[in-house]
Amino acid sequence: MTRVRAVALSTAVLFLAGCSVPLPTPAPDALPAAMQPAMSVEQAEDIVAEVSASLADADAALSVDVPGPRVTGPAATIRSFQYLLVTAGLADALTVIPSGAQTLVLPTTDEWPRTVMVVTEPPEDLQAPLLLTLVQTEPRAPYQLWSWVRLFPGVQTPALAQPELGSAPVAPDAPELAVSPTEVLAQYVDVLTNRDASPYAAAFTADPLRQGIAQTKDAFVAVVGANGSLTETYQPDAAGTYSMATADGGAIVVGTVRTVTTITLVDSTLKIGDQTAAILGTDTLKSSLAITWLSVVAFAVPPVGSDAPIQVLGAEHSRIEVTGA
Amino acid sequence: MLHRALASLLCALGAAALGLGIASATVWRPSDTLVAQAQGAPGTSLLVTDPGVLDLAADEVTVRASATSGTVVIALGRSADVDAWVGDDAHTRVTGLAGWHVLATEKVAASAPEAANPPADAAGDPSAAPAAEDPAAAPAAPDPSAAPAAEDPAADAVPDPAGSDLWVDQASGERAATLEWTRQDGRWSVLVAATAGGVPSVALEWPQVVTTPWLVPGVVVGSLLLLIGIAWWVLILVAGRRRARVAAAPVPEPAALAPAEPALPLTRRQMRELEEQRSSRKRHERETVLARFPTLVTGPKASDDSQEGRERRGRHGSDDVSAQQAVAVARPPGEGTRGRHGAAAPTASAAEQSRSCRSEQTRGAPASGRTAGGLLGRLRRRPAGTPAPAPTAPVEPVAVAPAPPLFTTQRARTPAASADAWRRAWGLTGADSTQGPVTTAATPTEEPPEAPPRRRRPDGSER
Repeated sequence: MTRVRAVALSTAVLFLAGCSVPLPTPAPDALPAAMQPAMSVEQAEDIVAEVSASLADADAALSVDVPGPRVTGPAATIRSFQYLLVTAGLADALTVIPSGAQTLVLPTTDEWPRTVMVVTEPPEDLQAPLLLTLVQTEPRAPYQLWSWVRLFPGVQTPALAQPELGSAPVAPDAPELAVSPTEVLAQYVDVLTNRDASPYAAAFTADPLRQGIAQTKDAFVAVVGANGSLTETYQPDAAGTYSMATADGGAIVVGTVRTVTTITLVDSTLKIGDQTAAILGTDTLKSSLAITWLSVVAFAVPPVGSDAPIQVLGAEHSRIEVTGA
Repeated sequence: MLHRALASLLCALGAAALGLGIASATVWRPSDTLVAQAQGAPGTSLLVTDPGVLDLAADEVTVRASATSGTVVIALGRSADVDAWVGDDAHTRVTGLAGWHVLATEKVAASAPEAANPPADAAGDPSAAPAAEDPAAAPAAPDPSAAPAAEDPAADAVPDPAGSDLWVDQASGERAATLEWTRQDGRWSVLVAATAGGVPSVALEWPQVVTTPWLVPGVVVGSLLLLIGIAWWVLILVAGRRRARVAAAPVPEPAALAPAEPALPLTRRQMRELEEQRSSRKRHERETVLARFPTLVTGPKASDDSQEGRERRGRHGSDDVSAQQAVAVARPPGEGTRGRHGAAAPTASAAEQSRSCRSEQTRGAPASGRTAGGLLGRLRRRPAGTPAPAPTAPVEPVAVAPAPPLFTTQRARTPAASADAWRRAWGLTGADSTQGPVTTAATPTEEPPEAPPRRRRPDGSER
């Protein structure tokens, strides 16, 4: 009898044991061997749209000091000045920044700061598309527009990895490039300063920005002539550089150059035009003029070991400060 | 008895299996969802799930978060992003299931660099919202950190993840929020934040594929068992009724004993009671039983029975009698002895009547003998009832035996007016002429002669 009972009991226990299901435990996907983009294309598009919307609000408000929460760095500086210009009556001073993205360069990283580069659709005024650089400085910060660059006409950007694969961010002192981003800026400044005498003149392709800066300086020099003195200095901006790897192992480097033009007049007057005059409120200066320019420049830097020249993809050159009397 | 028990057991088992099968798919049907809950650890306004927790039990999950007050935010992002956003803040981690309805949690205290964090938080996160309203605040980080601090009572203690670009999906609501998520490749986490402070709680709800494996087997086996059980019961009942009918036939056997009764000192009442018992028992099938009755009964008792029954029946109604007559008459005379005997009772009467008349006319002695026989027959039928039989009884069997049956049968056939019967029993045959026509059956002439010997024979052989 006890045996029968024991058998029945063990059978019941086995039955119940068979019925009970063990608690499921978390089984997360393994960390991928290759770093994945930090965001999806949809997320990136949302971010671009958010930035664009925020910028549009700021543009409407024309709040000179604050171009909105989504703009930072050189972009904020330039935008603020553009608001000043608009306020001064130059309604077309605002750079139109399209909200549509043509190409996304998404970072493969899990660290901060994170950088996203965007080639926009061509603006409505049939100008060249813009290259936007968005930066998230830390996890709890939003992505902000750090800079925009007008791509030069006829320029061809290097091949970029698909956004689904992502592009590796490149550190300012990255050794895998023919020239590190920081060094690129320094060399470019040297070229601006010394022009063809610079040892790096041949390292860069000719570009409209360099031509334009030279022409502007030459023009001022010609105007001022013997009636005064003119000095112009170039230096890499403290804002630094942001770089994203391209498909060929090179990188797109975005950096800023600060140009300061100082004119001192001796017993003479200087006729100035458009923007400077608008800011200063007068078109005739009697003693001095100081203009600070901020140039955002985008370079395509070849990978290490390549003899190809550094290509200047585009630039945004804007006054950011004007003083004169 | 064992069969009934087994059949009942089958029925019970079948019903039980049927019920259990249906209940397994209805009342006991497992829930369509698996819901597991967790409460944030005290002192944490943030709650984070580990990678893999969201798709713990199903690819789709519904996250329900609640907070005691203020807005609760649910943010979903890559685990690395969520962890980075939470940073060094104190938070509660959901690491898995502690039970079927309880999430396992683990408190993560704020790290040391917390002191360094607040400014960063204040500058980073709130800059999204307050910066736009506060023109002066945005450019310079240190100053604006004071402004958000003024808004938030506990400075950075209550971070708000809402609106961060890190999230793939997010939801927020007053005190409660719901977010649905379908599994994607990669490692994903959910962040729940009670933005007004306090401790958030979260419930993860996964749909479950519910199967009812016992429904079909239960219903099939159950109904099968039930049907078998019911069929068995029906068989048992049918067999029982048949047996009861078969058993009802032997019941007259006491009647077979009845012939002995005359010898026994049965009172008239006793006989009547016996008769009543018998008749009441099978009144509903009297016709058939009666038709068969004589076949089983041997001896004069049959006539006794039939006579008594007829008397009583006659009292009840004449149609009974006629019906019985019809049945009895319908029997072919040539049929076996039983049949003829059965028919004898009714059919004889006509012949008997005529014969009795004839005998009265032809011989005087027999006539007296007939009356005596009639009397004796009468007496013999009620031995204890009448004082008279005692002296005459010894004579009767031999000499007058043939006669009494005539009377009995005759009386049995008549509409049974008791007065008439008595009159005839006592030899007052005045009523006979009226009875002649009643027995219209064209009785075969050989019947009368045959009936008496038959009746006499058992009598004689018995005693």
